[in-house]
Amino acid sequence: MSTEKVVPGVPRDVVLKQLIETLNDMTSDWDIDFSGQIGEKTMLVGDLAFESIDVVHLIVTLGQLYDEKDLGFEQILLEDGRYVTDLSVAQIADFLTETFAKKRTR
Amino acid sequence: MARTLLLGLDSATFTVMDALVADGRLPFFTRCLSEGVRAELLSTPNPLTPPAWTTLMTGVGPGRHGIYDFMRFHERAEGPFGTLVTSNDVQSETIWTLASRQGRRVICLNFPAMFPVQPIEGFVVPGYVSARQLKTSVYPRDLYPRLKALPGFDPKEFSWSMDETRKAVEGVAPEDCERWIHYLMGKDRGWFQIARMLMREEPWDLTAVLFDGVDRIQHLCWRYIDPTLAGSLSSDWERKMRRMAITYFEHLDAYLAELVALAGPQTRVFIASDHGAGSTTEIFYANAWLASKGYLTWREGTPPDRDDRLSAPHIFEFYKTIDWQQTKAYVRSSSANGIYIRTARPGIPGIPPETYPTFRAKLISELLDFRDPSTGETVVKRVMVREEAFPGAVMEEAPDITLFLRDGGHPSIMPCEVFLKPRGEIIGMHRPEGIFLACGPGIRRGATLSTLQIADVAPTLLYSLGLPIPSDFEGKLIEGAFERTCLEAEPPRTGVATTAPTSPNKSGEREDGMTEEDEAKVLERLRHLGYLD
Repeated sequence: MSTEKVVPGVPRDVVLKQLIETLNDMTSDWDIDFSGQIGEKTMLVGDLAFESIDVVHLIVTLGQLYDEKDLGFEQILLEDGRYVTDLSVAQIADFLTETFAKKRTR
Repeated sequence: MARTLLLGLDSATFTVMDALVADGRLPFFTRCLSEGVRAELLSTPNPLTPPAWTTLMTGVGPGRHGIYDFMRFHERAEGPFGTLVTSNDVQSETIWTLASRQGRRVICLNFPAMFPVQPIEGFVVPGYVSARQLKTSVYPRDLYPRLKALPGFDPKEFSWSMDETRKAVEGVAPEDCERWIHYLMGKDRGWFQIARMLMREEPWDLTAVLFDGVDRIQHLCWRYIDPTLAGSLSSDWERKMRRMAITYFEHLDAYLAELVALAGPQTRVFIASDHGAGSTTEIFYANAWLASKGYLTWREGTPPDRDDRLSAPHIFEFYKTIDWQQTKAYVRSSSANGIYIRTARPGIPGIPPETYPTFRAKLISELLDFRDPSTGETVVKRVMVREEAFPGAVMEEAPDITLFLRDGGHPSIMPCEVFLKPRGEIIGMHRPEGIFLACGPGIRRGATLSTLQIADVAPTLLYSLGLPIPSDFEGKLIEGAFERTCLEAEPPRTGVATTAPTSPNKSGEREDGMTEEDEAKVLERLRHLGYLD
C-alpha cells in the first residue's frame, strides 16, 4: 500500500498521528522487547507482541475515537478467509484513511 | 432510597451453597439466608455469562439487548466472522447509566460487555479485559494509578485471559488443578481489593462487584464440589482437591462478609448469580450429526476430534474446515448452544428463504428423534426456536434453534466419527437455576420466594435506589423481597422508557455512509484532541 495517499475525509497524517498515539498509550507499560519509536513500519505482532485480544481492543478504541462502531476491520484482518499473521501501522493508517474517504464520497 | 450493594457470583447454585452452609463453611452466607430472602433465579434461555449478566444489567432479554455469546458474528459467504462482544454491541441501557443519570453514584466492577465504558458518575473496571488492556479500559482513566498503588497489585492476577476461558470449558490436567484453584483465589482477592478501596475512599449509592471464580472452579472441579459426588471421591488427592475447593468458597464468603460490613447496616445487599451449575457427562457432536444428515459439509481431509473437545483453539481456523457453499445449518460455537440456519441472501449461499419454516421444522423433528445408540434414549430433550426464546428487535442474531441436551451440556462443534461420547470424567456445566438473596433494611427476614427471572433483578435494584422502574423493562420488581411497610413508605414508581446507548452506530448498519455531519463531528473531535490545526 502507498503511504503517500491524499484523500478527502480525515487526512492520512492525522489518522497516522492518532494511531501512533493510541498505540503508544496502549503499549506504554507492556512487558515487551520493543524499544524503538512506533512508526509506519512498526508491526503489531512482530514488534509490539500483539495478541488477538489486543487487536480487538485497538479496533474498539479506534472505533470510539472516530464514532464508528464497525470500521470494517475484517477487510484487512482477513486474507482469503484466513487471519493475517501481522499488520503494520502503515497498513492500518491506509485502511482507515481509505475507509473514511469511501464513506465521505458515498 | 437505600444504599445498595450487588454481589454477583457467577454460576453460583444453591446445590453447592446450601451444602456448604449445612456444613458450617459459609458463616456470612448463612447469616444472609437467615436474615433475608432467597429464591431460585432463572437465567436466560441459554444460561451463559454474557447474555445472562447483560439481562441482569439491562432488565431485558437477549432479544432486546442483543448479546447471545462471547462473540458477535456476522455471516459471510466464507463462513461467519466475529469479534469478542463489547459494550458497543449492547442495544439496551444498563442500570449503571440509568442510575448515574438520575444522580446516583455507581461503582461497577468486573461485569462483561462493559468495555468501552459508557461514562457514568462513578467508577468502572470492566470485566473480560486482559491485563494489558486494563490501563486504557478503566473509567475514569485516572483510576488506574490508584489500582496500581494497591498492595501487591498485579493485573495478571485478576484480569481476564482467553486461556482462562478456554480452560474453563475444556478442562485442565489433574496436576494443574491445585494451581488453578490458587489462581482463582487470587483473582477474587484482586476484585475484592479494588472494591474495598473504592467503597472506602469514594462516595457511592450503588456498588456492584462480580466474582467470577465460582464459575471457573465449578467448571473444572465440579466432581469435587458437587455434594452428591463427594462420597465417590476415592483417593487422597481427590479429597485434597475437595478441601481446596471448599477453601476457595470459604475465602469468597469472607470477602463478601467484609464488603457487606464495610457497606454498613443501612445498606441493602443483593446477591445474584447469572446461572447455576451441574454435571455434564457426555459430548454431543452436533456438527458431526448435522453432517450425517447432509446439512453440513466438512472439507475433505478434516480430521475427527479425538480429544473430547467442545470447541477449537482457533475458531476461524476451524471454520475453514467447513464447506460453506454446501452447508445449510451449523453450530457456530459451543457456548451459543444452538443451531444457525444459513438462509440464502445476496452473496451468501443457503436454503431458499421461503423454505425456512419447513426446513427448520424438519431439522427440529430430526434433532428430537436423535437417540443414544446404546440406550435408545433421546439426547436433545427440548428445543426453542428463535422467536420463542429471544423475542425482540435483535433476535435475528440468535441461534435459529436453541438446544436443551439431556445432560445439561453444550454441543461440540468438532467433527467426530460418533455423535455421542461419554466424557472421561464429569465436569461442571451451566444450569438455568441461579441464586438470588437479599438482606438489609426493608427486606423480609427468612423468607423463600418462588422462582424469579434474572431480568427481575434490574428493576429491584433501581427500586432499592429510590428510582422509578423504566416502563420498557421486561423484568418485574421483586415485591416479595420487601417488607410491606417498605413498599408502603416508598411505593414503586414506573418511569419513562430507557434511553438507547449513545455509542456509535447502534443501528448496526455497517454500510451507512459517513455524512457531512458525521465527518464534521469526527474532525471536531480530532481538532479538540489537537490532531488538526
